[in-house]
Amino acid sequence: MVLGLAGLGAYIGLDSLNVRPPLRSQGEALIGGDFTLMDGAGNIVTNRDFAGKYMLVYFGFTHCPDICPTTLLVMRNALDRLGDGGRDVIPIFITVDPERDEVTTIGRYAKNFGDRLVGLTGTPEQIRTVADAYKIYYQKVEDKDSSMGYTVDHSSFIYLMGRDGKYLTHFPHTISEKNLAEGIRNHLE
Amino acid sequence: MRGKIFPLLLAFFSLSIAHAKAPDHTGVMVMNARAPASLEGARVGVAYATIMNHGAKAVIITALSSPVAKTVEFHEHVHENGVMKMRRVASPRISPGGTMVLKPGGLHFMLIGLTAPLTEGQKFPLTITFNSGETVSTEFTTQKPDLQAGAESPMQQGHDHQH
Repeated sequence: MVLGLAGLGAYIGLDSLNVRPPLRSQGEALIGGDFTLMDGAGNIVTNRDFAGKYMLVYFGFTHCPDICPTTLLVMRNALDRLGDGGRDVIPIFITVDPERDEVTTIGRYAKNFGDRLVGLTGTPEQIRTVADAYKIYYQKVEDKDSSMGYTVDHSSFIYLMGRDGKYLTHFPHTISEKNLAEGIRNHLE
Repeated sequence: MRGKIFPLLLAFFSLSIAHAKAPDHTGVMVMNARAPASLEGARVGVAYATIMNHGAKAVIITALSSPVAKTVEFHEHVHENGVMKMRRVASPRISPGGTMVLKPGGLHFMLIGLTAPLTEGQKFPLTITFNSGETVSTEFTTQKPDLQAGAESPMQQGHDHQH
């Protein structure tokens, strides 16, 4: 736990433009773990459904005006660039706004980014669990000034998880599709 | 000759500063007004433009409206230690001679509660009201999302504003 917290501190301090994988030297990957969520069709989805595949995971929300959609498009285009070589990489979008992003919303939204993207939502507790496992910071922020009511601050990284479900690397959301494709390819067996 | 050019100039100005109502007009020009097509399932949209203040006084945006959304607000992204935050900017201010660039990953008009999806090629008006009471109405064009605009470059904020 102490190690975990120290790791998280170091991790949050990372410059987001710096794509070094954090803390590999500690031997144990600190990012990732079990989750139980729901896809856009209302099916229960767990980490075990992706066993043997790579997961390309991004956390965001559908009220996010441009960062999230741009990142999801970059993920899609990067996977298109990889072609057949990237067929075992499953792009996953997990909402950090489960209140507004219910099953049908996440399902319709994910389809904007191609048939491969798996949009996932869940109960607030389920989202908290998966976000904690992935060391994702998110915080609902009330904004009385705004008619949006609230917004959600969130970490914005793209995670690449291996066939065993363990962390391989992460990328900043500002990455180009070319560099993301390269970065993923470097980790594919 | 003179008689022909003047109306042309006038026409040009009234296009550039469309619907600036008061005689001592704002001197504000809105350019590159665009919005990405809205996404299926999304209840919000976003719009961008470059706003130039050619006037001698600072201008502050006090209200925004468009028929495509229930509410239009001015928002900014703040990227701190890998965390994305979006905040409403209550009183965006453009200094005399200043330019405010709204673009992906930075400042933007937030279209909240879209009345209908924004489709590629669609044009829609958006009206900016300034502290002087003057308004500038601009036609925005809906486009494909621009992937490169926010990517791999540090965000810049070519403006000053008050929260």
